[in-house]
Amino acid sequence: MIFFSIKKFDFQANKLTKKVKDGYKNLLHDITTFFENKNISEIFETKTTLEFIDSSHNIALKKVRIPNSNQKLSSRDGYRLIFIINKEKETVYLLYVYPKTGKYGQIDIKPNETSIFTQNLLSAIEQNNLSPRNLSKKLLIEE
Amino acid sequence: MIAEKIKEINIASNKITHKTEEQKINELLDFINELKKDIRHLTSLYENLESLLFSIQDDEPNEVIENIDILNEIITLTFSLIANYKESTIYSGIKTELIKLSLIVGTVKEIRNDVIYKYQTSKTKKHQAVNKKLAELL
Repeated sequence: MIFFSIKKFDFQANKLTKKVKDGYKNLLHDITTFFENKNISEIFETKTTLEFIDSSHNIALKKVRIPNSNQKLSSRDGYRLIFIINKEKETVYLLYVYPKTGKYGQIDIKPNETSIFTQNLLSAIEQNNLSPRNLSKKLLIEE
Repeated sequence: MIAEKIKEINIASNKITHKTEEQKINELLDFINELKKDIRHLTSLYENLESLLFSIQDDEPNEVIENIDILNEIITLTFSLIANYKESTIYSGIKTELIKLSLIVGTVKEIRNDVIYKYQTSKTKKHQAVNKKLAELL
């Protein structure tokens, strides 16, 4: 499975993991755990599909719950990860992540934000500005 | 501020018989001053409305949606003026004007709803176009 992220995700991940005391230090590890040992179909079927990007329903915009191991929070109180998944090409594009609780806790994304995420991804592809990430290296950006 | 002033005027009107001629005149002058302020505020809002209507004519929903709070302000202020003046003892004197105003504000409300609908539709179209392009590139 191939992973990419957009700058919005990179910025948010950096911000959250920067300080240990904020309780988000394990973010990338927790996201890795979510994807590890799952095949593309299992990930594709995970709740929630926000929308299908293509007419044949092979590409979906997803919002999933991820536990926060750092603060020992369940998936309900942990993080929400927004990504686009292409089932045929086995590719995942990480778009945004936010915690439900703590210093940077966020209740939800705004209804119009989904269109901003897709627009962000389109711009990143057009400008060749995607960050490749490696699941076997805890989703760190590959140089 | 307007509502408070009108209440004051109502109270003042009820007590008007017990007041001297000079007091009555002063109160009326105050009232007229407040009324002029309200009218000036409304006039400036309706001037903004006029420019927004031109934006609608020029098919610039984004321009309008960014200024949607002007429409909301016009609606709120006009409705509150109508409601407050209806309670006032001067209502019968300006009834026709208030009816005209309520007709105008009704139209403003319709325009606001149309603009929001139009904006959402155009946004949906833009969103669909982005998804289509993304589906091709991914």
